[in-house]
Amino acid sequence: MGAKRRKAQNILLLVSSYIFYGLWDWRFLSLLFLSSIIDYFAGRAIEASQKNNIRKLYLWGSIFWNVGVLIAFKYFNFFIDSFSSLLSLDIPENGYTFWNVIIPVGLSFYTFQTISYTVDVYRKKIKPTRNFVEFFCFVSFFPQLVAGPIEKAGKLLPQFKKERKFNLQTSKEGLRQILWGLFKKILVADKLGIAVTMVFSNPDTYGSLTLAFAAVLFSFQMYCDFSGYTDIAIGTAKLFGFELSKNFDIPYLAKSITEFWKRWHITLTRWFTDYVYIPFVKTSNKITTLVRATGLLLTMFLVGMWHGANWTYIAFGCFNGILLGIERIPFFKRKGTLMKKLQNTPRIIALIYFFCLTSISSILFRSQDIEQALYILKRIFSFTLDTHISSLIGIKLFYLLILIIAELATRNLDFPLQKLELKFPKLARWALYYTLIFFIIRYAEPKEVFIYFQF
Amino acid sequence: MTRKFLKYLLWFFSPVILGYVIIEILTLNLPLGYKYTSEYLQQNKSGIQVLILGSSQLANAINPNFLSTPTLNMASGNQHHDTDLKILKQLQPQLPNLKTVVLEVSYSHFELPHNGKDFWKNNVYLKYYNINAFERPAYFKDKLVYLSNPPFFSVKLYNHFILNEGFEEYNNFGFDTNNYFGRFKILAYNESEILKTKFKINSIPDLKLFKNNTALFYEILDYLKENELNIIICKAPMYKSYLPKRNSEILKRRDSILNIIHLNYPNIIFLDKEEDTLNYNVFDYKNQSHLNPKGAKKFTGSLSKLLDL
Repeated sequence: MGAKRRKAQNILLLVSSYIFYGLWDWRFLSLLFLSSIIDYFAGRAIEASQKNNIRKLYLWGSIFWNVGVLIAFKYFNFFIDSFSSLLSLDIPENGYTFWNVIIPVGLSFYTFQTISYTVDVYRKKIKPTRNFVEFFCFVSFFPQLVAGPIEKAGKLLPQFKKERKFNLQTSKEGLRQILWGLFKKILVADKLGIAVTMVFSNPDTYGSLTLAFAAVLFSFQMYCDFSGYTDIAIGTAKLFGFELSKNFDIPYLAKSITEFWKRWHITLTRWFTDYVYIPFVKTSNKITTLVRATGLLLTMFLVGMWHGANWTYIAFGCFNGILLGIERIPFFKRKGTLMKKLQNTPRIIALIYFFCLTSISSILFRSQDIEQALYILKRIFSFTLDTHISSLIGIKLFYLLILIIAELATRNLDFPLQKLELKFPKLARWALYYTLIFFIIRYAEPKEVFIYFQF
Repeated sequence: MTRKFLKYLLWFFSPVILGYVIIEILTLNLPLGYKYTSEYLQQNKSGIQVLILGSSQLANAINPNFLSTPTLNMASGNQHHDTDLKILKQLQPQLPNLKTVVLEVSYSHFELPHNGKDFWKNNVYLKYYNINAFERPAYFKDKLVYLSNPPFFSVKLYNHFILNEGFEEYNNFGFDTNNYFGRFKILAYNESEILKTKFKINSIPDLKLFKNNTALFYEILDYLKENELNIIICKAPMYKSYLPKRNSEILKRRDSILNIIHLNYPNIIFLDKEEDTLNYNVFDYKNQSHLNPKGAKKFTGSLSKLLDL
């Protein structure tokens, strides 16, 4: 009875996930299907093979397919454009050289998830599944399909193998997390987005202070946009009896860039650490500081590339890679690094250090091209006077303030509304929910998309 | 347990759903231009001969009441050529007697981004005109008007139902005949004060946008040509302080494209009043780039002469 029920649950989830993805663009369902089927059989073939060379062949076949799809859909035009610029070739944009295709939503997320599966099977960390439906569910699970968290098979796949039973408390928590995610996205990220767009679309009309302020606001916009989505995804998964990984841990409390990357997009950082950084460092005969630094730079370059086919993202990745490298150099006595020093520094000083660097990073991320990023940075550091900043302040920052207070006050919880029944009576809780819902509906800006959907 | 949860959900969300339904009904009862335009469209489908497309500049500049030919003004604030094309393709088959389409090419029209499929007014087009501009199948939520732009409709609701104030006075064509309220009225049409005020104008050239937008504009022209419809391209009047602020690069590119169009499509008629500072004075404007109903009467008169030719 249990197995039948579980099978039915999985089939329902699979159909729902494919409908969910197909509603965006049904044509790309074939790509999702193909990726799933290739990696399913790659996993089975790796397990079945005794010879290491054959196992390796299947592994690289799977990686080649997944990375190939990423390159074809996400980076092909970028490479052509960059090479033609480098060689001063004039290729018309509507010519045959460019591939006129849109990037499938969530491509970077689900391909990374499937790569991790085959690699873990190859490393014998997990056993490949023999159940077609379970594996397809793992790749296409709709709450996290389009923007993560990037789950490892070892965590998510076993959850499809057991029957999910309805849990009232978990479901309530799920709804609360969805509500908090909506608050972050609609009331904080979208509001900040208006101010940020205003400044970044006309940087020449603003002075140093406004530009720097807009960069800080963009950091918060990005955080609330992405972590808001993650909360919605985790909350939705809870309603179906699934537990997804935590992806953010109040990243703006970080004292260093190193700590930031442990708190920001945790599942992506973990993915790159496990599948790029560690293998790279391990290939070296002697693990020196230089090897580690090169590994970091390479990893962060790829992190930047993962975000999109634009030089700004590559610059963003490299900039962070350099900072991570610098923080690990033993500048101080007794092999003391900047990273360690910052941990013992008063928080206010560490925060100033962190926000200065992360704002530069945000400018690289948000600018249309490197030229604009450099222009904005030049304008900030030339200390140009501001003529008007009033439009940036006001209700847009009010929500940000609420967010910061709420997150700081509940920093030991996964999200501020968690376990609310332990603190407030039902009447107060419902009043809070209704207030949030009212504000979310009333103050929602006209349709805004999630920033991380494009990645 | 599941039943308890569903009950809990129903109990919790009932007031939210009820509250939203009330808000949506109130929104649909607001005196909005779309509503009147929609009514006119429904009642005169077989008679409409002229279709006007474009942004707020033509929406404010053409009052179909002053035209002898049955005219539907579908121009609307922030409506770009991509939406114009979608409206045209879906409306044209419904208008058997359509003879002429009026298009707008304002100063920076070719270098402003298109609205895309997430434009909030897509809900409005779907609800009032049954035009799907989403580039995908429409769902139930796409017809919800209030949810398409809550801040905009909240202000409208507050003004209409709480303050009992409403400046708009729409005629049967959906044209606001009391659309005088703007920067110029606030400054009591004092020209020296007006000349001092700052205003929003796009001054950033964008060649990539220009290429894309021009290609789409040609698509509109070709569609109209295929369907043997007359074309009038309009440039609405701009106040004299607006003219020197235009970016010369944007302006030059726009005008060169219009010259090419003029050569390649000899039957297209141009109504160019952008720099007409003789016939349009300060009292004809709502602000630097939009006419008020008084100015609209003059501009519609010019259009009327072309339509009667």
